[in-house]
Amino acid sequence: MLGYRRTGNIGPMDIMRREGLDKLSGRERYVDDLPLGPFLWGGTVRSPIARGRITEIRFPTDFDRSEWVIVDASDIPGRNSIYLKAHDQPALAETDIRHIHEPVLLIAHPSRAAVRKAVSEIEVIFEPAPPWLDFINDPPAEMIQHGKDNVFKRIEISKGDVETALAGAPIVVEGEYQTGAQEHVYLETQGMIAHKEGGVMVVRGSMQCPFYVEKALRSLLGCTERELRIVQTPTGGGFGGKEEYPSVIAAHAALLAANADRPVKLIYERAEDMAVTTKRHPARIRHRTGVTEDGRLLAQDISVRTDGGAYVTLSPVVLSRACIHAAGPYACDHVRIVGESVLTNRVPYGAFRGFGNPQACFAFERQMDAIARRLGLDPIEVRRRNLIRDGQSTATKQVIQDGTDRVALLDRALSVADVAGKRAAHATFNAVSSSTRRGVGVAMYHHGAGFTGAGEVEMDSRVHVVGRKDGTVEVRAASTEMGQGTITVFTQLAAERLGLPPEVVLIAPPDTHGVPNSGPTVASRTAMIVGHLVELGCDDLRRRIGLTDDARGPIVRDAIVAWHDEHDEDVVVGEGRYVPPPGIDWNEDTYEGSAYGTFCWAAHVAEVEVDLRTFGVRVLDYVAVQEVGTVLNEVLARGQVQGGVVQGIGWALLEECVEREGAMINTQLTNYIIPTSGDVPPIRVEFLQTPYPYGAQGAKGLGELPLNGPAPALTSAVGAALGVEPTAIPLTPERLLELMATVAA
Amino acid sequence: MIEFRLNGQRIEVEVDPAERLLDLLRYRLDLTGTKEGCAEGECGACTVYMDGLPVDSCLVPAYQAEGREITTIEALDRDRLGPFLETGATQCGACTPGVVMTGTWVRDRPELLETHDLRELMAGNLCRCTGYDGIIEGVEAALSTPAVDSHDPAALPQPPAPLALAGVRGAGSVLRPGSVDDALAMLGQFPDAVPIAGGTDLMVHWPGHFEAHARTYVDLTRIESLREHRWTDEQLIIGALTTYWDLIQDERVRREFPLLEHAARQVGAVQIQTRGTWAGNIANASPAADGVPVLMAYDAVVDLQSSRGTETISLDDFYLGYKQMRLAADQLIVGIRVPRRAYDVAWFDKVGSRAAQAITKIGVAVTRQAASGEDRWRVVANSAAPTVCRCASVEHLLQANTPVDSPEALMEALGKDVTPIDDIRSTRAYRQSVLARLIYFGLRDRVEFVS
Ligand SMILES: Cc1cc2nc3c(=O)[nH]c(=O)nc-3n(C[C@H](O)[C@H](O)[C@H](O)COP(=O)(O)OP(=O)(O)OC[C@H]3O[C@@H](n4cnc5c(N)ncnc54)[C@H](O)[C@@H]3O)c2cc1C
Ligand code: FES
Ligand code: FES
Repeated sequence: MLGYRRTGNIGPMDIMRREGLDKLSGRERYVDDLPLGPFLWGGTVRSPIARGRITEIRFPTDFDRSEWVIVDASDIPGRNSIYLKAHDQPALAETDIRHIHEPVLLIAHPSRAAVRKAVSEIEVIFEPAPPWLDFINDPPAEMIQHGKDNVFKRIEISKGDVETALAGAPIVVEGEYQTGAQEHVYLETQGMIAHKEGGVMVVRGSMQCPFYVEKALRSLLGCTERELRIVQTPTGGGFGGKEEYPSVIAAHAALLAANADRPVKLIYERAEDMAVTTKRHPARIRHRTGVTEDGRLLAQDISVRTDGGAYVTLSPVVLSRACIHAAGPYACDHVRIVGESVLTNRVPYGAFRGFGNPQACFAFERQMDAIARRLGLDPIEVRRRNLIRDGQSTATKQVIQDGTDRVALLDRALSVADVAGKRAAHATFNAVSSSTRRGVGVAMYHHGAGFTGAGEVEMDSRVHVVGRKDGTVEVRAASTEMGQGTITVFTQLAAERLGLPPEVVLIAPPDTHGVPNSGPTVASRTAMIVGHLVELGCDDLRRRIGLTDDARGPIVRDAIVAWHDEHDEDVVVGEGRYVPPPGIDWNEDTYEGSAYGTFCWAAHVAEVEVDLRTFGVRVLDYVAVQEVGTVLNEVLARGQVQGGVVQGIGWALLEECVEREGAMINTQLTNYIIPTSGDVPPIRVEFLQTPYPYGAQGAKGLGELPLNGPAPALTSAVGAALGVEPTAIPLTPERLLELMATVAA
Repeated sequence: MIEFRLNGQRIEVEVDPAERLLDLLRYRLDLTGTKEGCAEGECGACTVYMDGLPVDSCLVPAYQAEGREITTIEALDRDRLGPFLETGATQCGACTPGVVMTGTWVRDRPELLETHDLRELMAGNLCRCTGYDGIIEGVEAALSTPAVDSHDPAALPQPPAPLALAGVRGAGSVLRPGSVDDALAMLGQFPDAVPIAGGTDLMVHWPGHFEAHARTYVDLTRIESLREHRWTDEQLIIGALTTYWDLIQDERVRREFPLLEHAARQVGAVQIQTRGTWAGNIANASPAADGVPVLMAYDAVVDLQSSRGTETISLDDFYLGYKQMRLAADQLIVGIRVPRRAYDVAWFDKVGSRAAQAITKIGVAVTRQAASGEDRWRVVANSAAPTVCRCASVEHLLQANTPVDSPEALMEALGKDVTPIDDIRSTRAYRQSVLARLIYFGLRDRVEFVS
């Protein structure tokens, strides 16, 4: 069932989520739902300490090895690492341990209960070493475990002359901001099934990036692409958590399956998933800002430090996005941003929706409020004065010239939210209310769409659009559906481009033996970049079947059928291949130039009520207005923003990773608190659309954008309600009580 | 071998005492629409209907399905799910079957909206993708879409023959008495046996609790006489199997004992309220229990029975220390009695870390009997001490009409009454301060000697 709706906007055909009914009716089968003949359940024995050496692995006395498949590091045929950016993270620890829960041994057995029990009973004996758990200060020599200083990545961005500008500034405002880790809590936990099929190792499971898994496993198993096949199964949420981590669990499933006579299924239970997988990087960001008395930015001196955890994973790239965004959507002639991501003996941090920008955004927006307070100005006014105008440049000297009126965007948010009316009402309310206070806060921000810098060029992504014998069209791409709407959007784009009804467009399952590498499903790049490759693939298909570029509709179908009458091949293949937009040039060494092909822009407004009895913060209203290029599908786009905002509300107010010895210990949904439907108001969403000429139908990236706004908007609103200035999140009631006490004292 | 109705059809299946309904459905009956997201009753992805009420199947032992009607997502009418599709109620889909189960339950019972709002009813289904608007609007749209009754669950394909029980299991067993006498005899005979009612406490994180799998359980759920609650002229009698939902649905409870309703509605979310029992809340002996403070504030007494005889203990005297109480291994709580009296002050404040599905960080129930006299006040705190406890010093203060002009004015008395701690959920400082503030602000609006 496909419903059609037209929005009358620039956006073209809107169809309903294609796999929606299967999901709603429980028919969609995720990895743990797949029918499987006889198989083994896998389990992972892990390190109980944060740092040290393994000396022995001790099995329970009644452990009958003949019933089990057992795999350790010595069974790895290729290189013992989870290869993505670096080779530092072993698939299975050999002797040295760098974090709690580091995988040490794999086991498999037909009974899941037996596996659970064995995992809890097999003992890892160790010699402990003191762990390093401080990402702020520089480590002493005995704590160095990576390079010469534990720094995974150092970045410096420089524009103008910051020192001179600061020295000459009439007012300098300093601020220090801290953000905590965040767990993704995709509702479907991580899981993989691996089995041998002829000479091929087949790994199926929940993932965002099949070719990342392929890359890691080729190196690990020492095999070729042909001997390895990675297939994505319907994926119950990712948010970045299934970007790099699935390579670990896929590696484990494959190692077990290589030693088993039947498939091995490895499904994490929630507590294991929360304890061992990546989280959002904790960050500490400092700002020193020189301003004029009327609030114009003269100089921004910013330092960004993130906790990378025990291995490199994606920390350098996350740091890079954090630094590039750290100065905010504001114009300033003198900017210096220094960033470092460092090692600690914690479970590695990794990709999470927003990818460094939420941390950066919290800091620069809090800093804007601090500046306004210092100058006695309206924080909205300070933002308005400094917002980048077309023709001005970012910290990396990228000139913005996209036709978006950012001041109008801000004004639109203010008027949709009725900020003036709310402020007046709050003044009255706060004067009479005995135990509650209200406030409103605003956040302005930007988010670079697609890969950073030269990423897209290096990726060299490809998509195939193939014509089949019956005249239907199949889109073949590695881009995965994990809830954000890939299947639906690709269907729309191909159908629209070829003038065909969406029913005749098929989307091939992401399978490394069946689709070309269209790159990972990350960085909000799928609709914008890969979607455009779908369009180019359609164009190429049209040429191959002898049609002109303007041919649309039934003649396309007829031409496909006619082509097959004359050819023996199964399909006629049209290819879309990435071509960088003109004028893109990025210098990775100096961090100068076009960091992104384009940016999205957003203005969020939050209204809160603080309960003075409990210090609980209730969100009364939330307005999110954003400029995202063309909106391809309104229902999907709105859902992305609402979901991202609510995830951001969780990060700002509720979600705290309580930690002991470098690992999260509140690994249950009862004590890692994500919002329920009762914790959030309706999220009011509005889009401004300035089509981006190089994105599919004018689209820019959208998925990550909304998560940036809630933390600064909400903390600003709490600040307005109480006259305090929160500088750290999550702003739990406990933390707010402490903050109030310090202010009172 | 147990027998029950599954999606309208009779089914017979061998079950293991350590098997959850969720596992039976997913791994042996291939009904994989029901998902597992947490194994602890938080996420609602495993929601099914049991006799028409939504429950978390991860917390239901398979044997408790016996004789009941179980409905899973597979039995719902696909043609009526359009509204959810149009509003964007699903994204990744992992939460979705559970969401749809709760959502259609509400759709088919619009009268629920006279007492509840949709966000409260849906709060037992966590979704990480949609931000909930698509879901809430989907249920609203479904409510206003007229039913096209083309659906016949009996026309569904027969469920596949169940796969055999596999693997190593706990060595445990379950006894399923049909009467209180039988249950007491069993408890007398097996001193280590554990009674089980709604399972919302015992079944949490069940798969990993190996020791628990090896125990013997006495399942109370077949004892129909324990289910209902009754009213006499003097008291409300709550049965040992009476659930939160049973009392929430009783309009008289809402009128006469509003705190019972307030507390019940703040226990977990609907899927927990439909299964969790008041007696289980008492016997669980958690300092964070929400049912206990309100019962205590209403001077409830507990009726205990064993094959040795019967005994009645005031709830106030029931707890001895952390997880310790006056309940012998062979005794059952067979009823809870609440005297019917008039109160002129009564409120319950629960502070959890979110709006629903929250264990209490600090809470307080306060009542004052309308009849004048000594000893009118009850101030009962939860999550403030090793047990739920009366705050005797604060009660004295209030009884003496001592002027209270700030939260700090209560601190000294509270210091004698409670001993809050730092733990994974909150801090001692927070609990102390907030408890005083809840009492102070609560009184300020209600009694004259507090300003
Ligand atoms: C997600 C979730 C949220 C929750 N939220 C809350 C909350 O907000 N507030 C709150 O107070 N609780 C909460 N709980 C805890 C729990 O649900 C309740 O305390 C519930 O009342 C327990 O009742 P039950 O019948 O399900 O207990 P069971 O699990 O069946 O039993 C609990 C204990 O009581 C004993 N027992 C049961 N019946 C009897 C009897 N008749 N005689 C003697 N012993 C008996 C059992 O042996 C066991 O030790 C929550 C639980 C979950 C899973
Ligand atoms: S699996 Fe989460 S509530 Fe049952
Ligand atoms: S749709 Fe993904 S968790 Fe709800």
